[in-house]
Amino acid sequence: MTFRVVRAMIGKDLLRETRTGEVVLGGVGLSLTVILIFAFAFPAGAVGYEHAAAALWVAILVATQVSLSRSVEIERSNGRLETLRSLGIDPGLFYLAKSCSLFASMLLLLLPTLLACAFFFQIPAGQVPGLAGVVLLGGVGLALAGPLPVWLGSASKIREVLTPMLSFVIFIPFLITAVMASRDILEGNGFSSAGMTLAAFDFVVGGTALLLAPAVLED
Amino acid sequence: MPPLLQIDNVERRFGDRTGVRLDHLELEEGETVLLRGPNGSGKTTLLRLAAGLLRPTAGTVRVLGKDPAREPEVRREIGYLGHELGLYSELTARENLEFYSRVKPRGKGEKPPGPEKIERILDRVELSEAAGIRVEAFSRGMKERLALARVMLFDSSLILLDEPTTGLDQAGIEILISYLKGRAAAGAAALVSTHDGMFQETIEAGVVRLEE
Repeated sequence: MTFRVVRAMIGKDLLRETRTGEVVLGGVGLSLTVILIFAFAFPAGAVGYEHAAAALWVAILVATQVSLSRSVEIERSNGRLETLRSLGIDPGLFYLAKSCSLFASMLLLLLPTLLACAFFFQIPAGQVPGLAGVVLLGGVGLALAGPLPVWLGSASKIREVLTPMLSFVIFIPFLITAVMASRDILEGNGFSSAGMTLAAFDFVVGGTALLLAPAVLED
Repeated sequence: MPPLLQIDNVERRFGDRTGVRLDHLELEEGETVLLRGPNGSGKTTLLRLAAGLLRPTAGTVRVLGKDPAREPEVRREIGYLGHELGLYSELTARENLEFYSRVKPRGKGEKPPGPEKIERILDRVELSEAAGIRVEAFSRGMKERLALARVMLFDSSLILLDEPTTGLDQAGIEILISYLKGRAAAGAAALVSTHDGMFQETIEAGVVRLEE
């Protein structure tokens, strides 16, 4: 049943995305803007791959925030989540399906962001696959844990304040680790302990989010 | 067999405000009950409690002897149509039904509603010709019909409808009545909130009145 629901959710969201572009296109636009700003913020000739880790993750964070909010809002509005709950769908399964769907959409967002970063920051081609691995690990974590603070905040009357605060608590240690793992790749140190920590974050934070999801999504 | 729906001494509060209070309501097989009352009397809240979407502050709600808020698997037996219709505007009518038929949990060996059933239901709510059109282009009445089609897709034992006649024309109301009668004959029970006096006169049903 899990696979069937996940597949249906991904299919539905990708179909919507091809018609609206609201989760991916807005995010891609923002992430590319951030990369460009960083690329032009440094003096001519000074732009190097050593700056790339910061630019890359700021771009991903900004773009992800937009995608996360839209992804949650699609289900929250017009009684859609309520309808899905009324069918008897396990809320944990719904959360997992939605996270998988979000990750599928994020792949469309992460790829151009990574390529733009590699281009403007002159990242050696040999380091791009390693960096892609770190970005994927980060994407998994953001897709699994990211919706939780948005769902939590969306039920509150002060969601505009609450959601960024909750996101901050979850994202900051995660992002610092992602930046460190990316920097290690760019410095030629390979998949370092920071990369392992990022993978562990995915497991722990993602698992916790899945466990907490029923309490957040039910009344 | 326990009643399809049993509500006892139920109360739901939202902060200081009482959303709904009801001493007793029981629905047996084949029974249809209309929920009436002024705005704010708690009709929607009661339906959401019955569907397990809200937990009561006090009292008990049981569907086939189970608490639908704590045992979500019993919601498989419920066909719920809320005030918000839960449709995806960017999908077509057919795609909406296909999506919901795929994600609805099933019992062991239970088959999902296939394409033939989806087409049959679309035909029954007179949306066959609009099946390939995105819902964002639908009128309120067409959306209401499609949401009703989603309920009709599954042979639910307990049907909970919140103001289902809103936006429906006479033909749509007749489809609704025919559906409710058919399900009642098959042993299902229905709880339907309505302000529609004509609808009440047409359908043979008990009435529960909620006070403000």
